[in-house]
Amino acid sequence: MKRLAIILVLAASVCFGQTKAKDTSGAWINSKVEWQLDDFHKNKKWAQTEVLYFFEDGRFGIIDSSISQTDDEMEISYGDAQTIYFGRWRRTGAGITATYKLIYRDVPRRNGAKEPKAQQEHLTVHEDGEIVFRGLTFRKEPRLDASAASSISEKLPSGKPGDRQ
Amino acid sequence: MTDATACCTSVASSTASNSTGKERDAESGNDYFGARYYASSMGRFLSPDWSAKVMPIPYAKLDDPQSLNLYSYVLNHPLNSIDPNGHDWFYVDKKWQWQKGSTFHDADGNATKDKGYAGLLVATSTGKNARGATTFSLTLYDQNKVVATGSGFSGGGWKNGPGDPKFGPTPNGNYEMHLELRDSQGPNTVIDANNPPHFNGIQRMHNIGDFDVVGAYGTVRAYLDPLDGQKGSRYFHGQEDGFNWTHGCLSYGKDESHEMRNALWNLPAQESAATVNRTVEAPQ
Repeated sequence: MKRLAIILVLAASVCFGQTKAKDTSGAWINSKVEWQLDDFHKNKKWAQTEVLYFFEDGRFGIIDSSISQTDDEMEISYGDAQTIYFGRWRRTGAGITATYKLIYRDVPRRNGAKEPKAQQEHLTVHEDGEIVFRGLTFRKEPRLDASAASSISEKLPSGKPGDRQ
Repeated sequence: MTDATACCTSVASSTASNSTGKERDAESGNDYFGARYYASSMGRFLSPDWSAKVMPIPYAKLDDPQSLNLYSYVLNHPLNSIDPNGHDWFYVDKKWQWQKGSTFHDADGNATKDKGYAGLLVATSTGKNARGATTFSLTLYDQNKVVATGSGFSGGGWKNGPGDPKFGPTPNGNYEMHLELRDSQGPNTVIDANNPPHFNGIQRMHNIGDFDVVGAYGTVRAYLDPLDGQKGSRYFHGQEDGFNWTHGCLSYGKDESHEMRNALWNLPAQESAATVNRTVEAPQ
């Protein structure tokens, strides 16, 4: 299946001050994520969500998958299907511009069906530290930092992208 | 590596004492069985088995080649055998433990746990395939019996060559599958990212809209609940696209009339390992 580059410009308006790379870098999850209790482990729960990840060096990724939380640990599910977008982000004045494309999906499209065309969204950083992306509010979640960075990095090919298409 | 070594090494590491229940030599780490030492690190005895009565091959059964291996331990099937000195495998506090007796009392002494192998998958790595995936020998247990054996693969990912992404494999070990949670219809929706939602039991899979779910998961997938502390959440599934690599799940490959797939799907819906039908005795 053909890869379809999705270029998205995130026009960010910062409500106060200037965001620093360190303030933004790391994993962000939907602050209204709906957790479901694990059927067999009382200390575990699951959620289907989107995770944004801002690398300090300007790389940027989006992960669509399941995440689990066990006690105080949180991770992106390895076995549940993932869809990964990857690109770069940079501050442009008071805002943020991110450009990215689909690099990986576990469940491919059939019969050569094409990915949606480019999307354009506005990203807002609120005073309380939350980000609004596609109408959803995201908050920083440091417990997902390692898992999110790993999930994106492992999909990056050294040569031709090897998404399952 | 055999099933025996996988079970012994992985389960042993989860218990405070040695997994065989035998006295362990502090210097060598080997377990003393009265007649000979057992190297838990290798899953093998360090000397041949012997019998009091002189015979060409002690305890040999000609219809079981493993009985001819004088260094093997409970015929390389510790999950299916009881040690002659009275030990057995027990599923206690989410771990398999090698303990003495036909029943086992937990550390508090106020409960007796039962043993059983309902929906247990034992995965033992055997090498690598051409796509960089780790290959496995797989044994599916149910109600203390082996119901299917086969091979599988996990990780890898060299679709176009070594420069492509490659993923780590499912670790060796024992995995419980929750037979009592079954979805015969399969997911009928995908979330906005086009991925089927997480499911903790055994689930039939089918294509959804434009998305080739069966290509990725085959027609049946089962969530693998690690019993030995392995990290990561994974599934055991087929794979119709024939890539022979996975993103870290454990796959038995194309599943059309596949023995492992059929055995998995035909496992009776029942409570998991800890509640297999056996008499539970009062604490002593």
